[in-house]
This record gives sequence, C-alpha cells and structure tokens, in this order.
Amino acid sequence: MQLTVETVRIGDLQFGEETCFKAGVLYVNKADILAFAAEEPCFDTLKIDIARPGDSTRIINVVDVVEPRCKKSGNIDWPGVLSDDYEIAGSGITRVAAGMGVVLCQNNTYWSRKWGSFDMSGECAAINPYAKIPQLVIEPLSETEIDFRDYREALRRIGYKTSVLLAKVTLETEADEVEIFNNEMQYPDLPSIAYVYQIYSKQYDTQNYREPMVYGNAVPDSLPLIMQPTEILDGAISLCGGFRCVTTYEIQNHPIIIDLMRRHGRDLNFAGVLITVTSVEAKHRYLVSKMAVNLLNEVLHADGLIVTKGVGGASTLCVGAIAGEAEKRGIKSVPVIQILNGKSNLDVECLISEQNVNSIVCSGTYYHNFTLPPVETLLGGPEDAIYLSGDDGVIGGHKIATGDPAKGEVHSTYMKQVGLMSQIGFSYGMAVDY
Amino acid sequence: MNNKKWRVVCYINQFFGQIGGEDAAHVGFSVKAGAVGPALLFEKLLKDECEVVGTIICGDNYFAENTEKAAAEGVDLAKELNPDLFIAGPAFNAGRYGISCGNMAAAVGKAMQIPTITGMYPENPAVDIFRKDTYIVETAILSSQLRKVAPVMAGIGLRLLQGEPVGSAEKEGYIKRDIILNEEQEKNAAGRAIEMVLKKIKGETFKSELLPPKFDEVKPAPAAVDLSAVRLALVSDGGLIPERNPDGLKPNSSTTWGKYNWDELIADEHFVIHSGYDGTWVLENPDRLFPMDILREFEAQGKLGFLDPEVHVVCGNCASVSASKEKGEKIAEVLLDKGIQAVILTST
Repeated sequence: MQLTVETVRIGDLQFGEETCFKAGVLYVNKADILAFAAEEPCFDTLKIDIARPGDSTRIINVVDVVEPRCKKSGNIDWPGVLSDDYEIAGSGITRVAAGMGVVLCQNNTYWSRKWGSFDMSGECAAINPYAKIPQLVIEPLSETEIDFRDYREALRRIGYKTSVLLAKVTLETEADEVEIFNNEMQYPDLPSIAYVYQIYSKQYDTQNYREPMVYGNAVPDSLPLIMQPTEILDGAISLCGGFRCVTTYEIQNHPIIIDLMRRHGRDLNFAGVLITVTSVEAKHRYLVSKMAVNLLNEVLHADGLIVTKGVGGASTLCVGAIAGEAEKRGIKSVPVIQILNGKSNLDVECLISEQNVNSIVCSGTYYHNFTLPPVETLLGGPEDAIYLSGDDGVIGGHKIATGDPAKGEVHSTYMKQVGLMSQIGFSYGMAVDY
Repeated sequence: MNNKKWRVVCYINQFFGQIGGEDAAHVGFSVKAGAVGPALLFEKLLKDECEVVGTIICGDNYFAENTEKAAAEGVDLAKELNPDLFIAGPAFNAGRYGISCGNMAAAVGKAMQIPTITGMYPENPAVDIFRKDTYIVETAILSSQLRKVAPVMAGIGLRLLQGEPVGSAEKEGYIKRDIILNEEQEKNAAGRAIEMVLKKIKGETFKSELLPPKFDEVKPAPAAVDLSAVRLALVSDGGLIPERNPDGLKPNSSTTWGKYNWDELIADEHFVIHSGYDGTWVLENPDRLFPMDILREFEAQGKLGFLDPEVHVVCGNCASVSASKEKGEKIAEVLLDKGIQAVILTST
C-alpha cells in the first residue's frame, strides 16, 4: 500500500471570522467547531482556546492531542469513527497541516481515569514537543452528568472532525513537503525489521467499557493482526480511553513506522507491522507471543523486531514474552519499555525477566517528579480544578485522590506530562540511575 | 558570602589519623583542629571555597564494637564544629572503616541536614547499607588511589554545597542511591530502538538500556498436605482497604501494608486504592479478591483447619522490588506470630 503525505507548515494559529488558511496563518472560526458539538447531544457547548508556546498556561484533563489531517484523495476520514462506512485506511493522499495540535480535554475526571497535563512554558515545556507549537484546546461543557462512554466517543469525534476541517482549509495551498510511504517492494538482502505494536490493554477499561481502537471497534482479546504500516499512520488506530502516554498525534506521526519507512530499501527492510493487545490471562499471553513470533517468522520473515507496549506492568510482561519467544527463534528483539517507579535502581526494576532479552530501550521512569510553578491561565477545567497528586485518581475505586489547586504550584510526574513520555518511541527521555 | 568560606569537617580512622595501626584500633574519638591525613588533600582541592575546620578521628574497633553509640558520639563532635559539608574517609575496601565512614556520613547528614560524602570500593560491605543515605564515591581497592578519588569527592561535595545539580551515578562516579530519573537523549526511543536492533542483527556491539534482573531463587515451602489441620491466611496486592486508610497505602509505589479484620473491613466503608486495575468488580463482591466465602465454608465443614479472620493487604501497583521484599518480610513475620502455616496470595 502506498500513502502520500503532503504537508503544509502553518506559521501561526489564530481565531478569525472564517476558518481558513491565509499567508501562513490558520484562522479558526469557533462557530465551525461548535457546530460539531451541536451534533453531539451530550454536550451543551465547548470552551475553545488557543495556547501558545511561552504562555504561562497549564492545560489539564488532557486525554488526547491530534494533528490536523484529512484525506485529499476522496477516501474516508477516520473510517469507523467518523463514518459508518468502512474502507481500509492508508492509501491515497493525506494532507497535513503541521505545526499545531488540537488538544482534547475531558473535564469530568471521575471517569477519565487517566488524564495528562502540560504547561506551555517552564521546565517541562522546554522538553515537550507539544509546548513548542500552538494548540487549539477544546473542553466540552455540560450542565448534566454525561455517561462516560458517550463523553469519550463524542469528544473523540469532535476532535477528529476539527482535525479534518483544519487540514481541509489548507488544500488550496501547495504543500511544503510531499513524502511517499510504501514498503510493498521487499529487500531480502537487507536486515529485515518488523514492528510489533501493542495498542491496547483492557486492564484500564472502566466498567467493562472496551476502548474502540481499531477502525472504531473494540479488540479486547484480539490475537495478533497483520496491519499495513500506512493504515496506522492514516486513521486505523484511534484512542478513546483517556491519556495513557500516547496520543493520536504520535500515532499519526508514528516514529518507529516513519523511521523504518524512510530507511526501507536503504539500510534496512521494513518487513511489516503486527498489532497485539495486552493479555490479562497467562494463557492468552502464551498464545499471543507464540502466534506473533510465528507470523514474524513465517509471514513477515523478520530478522529483527521492535516491540512497544501500552501503560503498565502487564503490558510489559507481554512484550517481554514476545521478545523472549522471538529470540528463541533467532529473531533479534528490542522492546521499548519503561520503569514503573522512581525509588529503586535499574538493576532490579526491569519488568522483563526473560534472560535472552538483552537489548532493551527504556524510555524513562513514570515517576520522575516535577514541581511546577503557578500559572496565569488554566485550560481544560474550571479555575478551581484540583491537580490530582500522587496518582491519577483511582479507577472504579470510587475515590479520587486529593491534590493541589491546578492553577497554583503543582506536583507532577513524567508520565502525567503529555508529550514527555511516549509509549511508541516519540519521546527522548531515558531512565538513569542516580 | 564573598569572603566567607564553607566549613568542612572530615572523618578518618586511627590509621589515616596517624595515631597508629591495628594496635591503636581500640582508641576512641579525638578531634584535631584543621586538616589531618587525607583531609589535607580535601583542603587543598577545596581551598578557594572551603576551609577544613576540623578532623574527627576514631579507632576502627572502637567504632565497630558499638556503632550506634559511636555514631552518636561522632555526631556530637561534628555538631560542635558546625560544618556545612562532612567528608568521611574514603574507606576503600576496609570493612570496619567502611562501617564507620558510612555511619558517620549518614548520621551527620540526618542530624544536621547537611550534605555528606564518602568513598568506598563497591564491594565494601558498608556500601549496600549506606548508599541511599550519603554519596559514596566509587574507589579502587587500595588507598594508594586516594589522589584519584579525592577530586571526585571534592567536586560532588562542592556542588552539593552550592546547590548545583549532581549528575547520574555513572557520569559522576558515585554508587547508585536508588533514585531513578530521566535524562533527555539526542535520539528519541524509536531511533534508539532501530539502531539497537540493526546492530544486534549485524552482530555489532550495543549497549542495552536495561537488562533483565537476576532475582533470588525462592524455594517454595513444602505443600500443605492435610488442609483440615492447616492454619490458613489470605494476602493480596489488590489494595482493598478501609475508607480512612489507617496504614497510609498509596495508589502506586506504596511502601506500607495493612491487616484488617475481614468482617469489619466489609461492614465499614472501604475502597480499592490500587490504581492499576478497575476496582468496580471487587467492590461489587469483595470475595472476588479474598475468597473468604468459600474458605469459611471449608472451615465450617472441617476441610480447613483454621482461617485467619484478618486479611493482609498491600497495593502492588508500581511497587519497587526492595519495598515489596520489605513488606513481604514483615507480613511473613506477622503470619508466623499467628502460627499461620499456609497462605493464599491473590494478585490483581
């Protein structure tokens, strides 16, 4: 499959009377986005703001960041999510309006379970890609209690529709860059690398709500799937479960897929992508790891693999099992994992225990702590919102931890800062012993 | 602050204090004004910013024979000298000297809330005891390497005084203090992973950022053969606790645990503090976490000898290995005290 990605770089993001792209500036008419909310019965309205790099602004209750993208070639945008019509994503031409993000906030934290935040200036902003571009911040408002499933899915639709709209208004403008992604032609003489992408774990589902992630479908106990890398870049995988250290923006710009694509045919062969989910039962894990490695060996003919995970310990065990199985079959494996606590040392805290997995990338500890100063502007929640301390509230445990006022000095962690830790390799941090 | 120098106090043993060798190891504490022995080197290295105002000396045996008393005595002497920075040793691979340096650095740091630093060979038994309580700079085995290690110790000490950042253990040359932090790299994790897998395929050398740990082999206790004669208890990591959280458990990285009478726990307000799973189903029916219902039936039928009415609760989410070990040891002690012979551990 071939996907052409055309990129227009936007210089600035501003509100305007018409949603349009003029002289490098993307203007947004709020009414156009409010119209998306009007289609969603669960929200009364939306609060829409722009946050800029350097602003004394903290955005809380962040569940996703999306890059403006639309199909230019007549394909369906976000099949299965924005339409009931299905087609396989990942071919034709996609237009990107690069240089901004759409931030989605879920302000009823009780159900959001996991939310992140980020500041547009300060210590964390200095190392956060999302703080370096203007962000259109969308917070739904409602007088009445909303079922969390409706909330999440409606917010996702609004975010994705906004993303499509903002990219569409740039279509008249010639692209700054055009890049073609295609790994159809295989190069058996080059080192052949596959990517195993663990997209989901049901351990974080609230009240049995299965996050509809694959073309809008839930895949709670899925066995390994072969998916085209371009599908993933183009809307096959979508998030709907709160912030878990990966955003739609990161999937759209999936760094492993894009790097492997760019090097495909040069110094390596990109063999393909396997999609897996976290197993919550050992029996399922054994089968998934054996099946995944069998597909890697017999179908993708991989010499090596990179495997990434979702948040948490169970997910790490699963990628460890896949890597361990692969190494047994002679496939060199590099899992990308994290450390789950900050008060220990790396000699004992690697959750992969398969001794044959001796090539691991560690994208940080969750609990590198920050104390962040008060801010002038708080977005994503009411002025008196609380910044949950210690953890992210308790899922389904019917108790939310207390915390500091979010507008004042807050205590945060690396994993809570959207943009600092990416499960799929987008972030730059590495855990180090002190 | 311009012309005021920081006050440094050094600690050394009788040998480096030029009192004597093994024959003088029983000698107690003494204080000499200014720098003595290795302290002279620290004074020279820090001369622009610091002044070594005194050197505390103690015999190895005197200290080792009653470390608690000796440390208290040493802290009192240090307090009189009012230091801003305390430097102990370095002790290299000397066992007793390591114990006294570690004790002094840890105790002075704790009592006076000032930075402390020492130096030891990584296999010195004192390293594992004190590495979290002070900065232990890694040294060679022999004291002939003093000139090599002293500048490292002085450099870290000075930055601690100045409130400047001290880098990672590997970069700075001290022994891990059990703090894990993140450092931004030139390449993102995706780029690093691709480089690593390519190198591995090509058989080139690479450095893994983590390695699987080598855990202790735990030999399971013999199986409980006749359940009708067994005293059984339940332990879980599921974090089901009383509403008032009397033992201060945390949603993650919890270092504490609690034991609760089952009937009281269930009758009173309770919740699941563990934030790594959805507690809805446990709250709906707590027997899903602790199978008390079925075990009580077994007990009533005589199939089970005795069921502990208390359950033992930890929150396993993101717990460190060392904290888990410590909790496990404490729970095991309590269970042994109650004469418990078997446990069922339920995980979430």
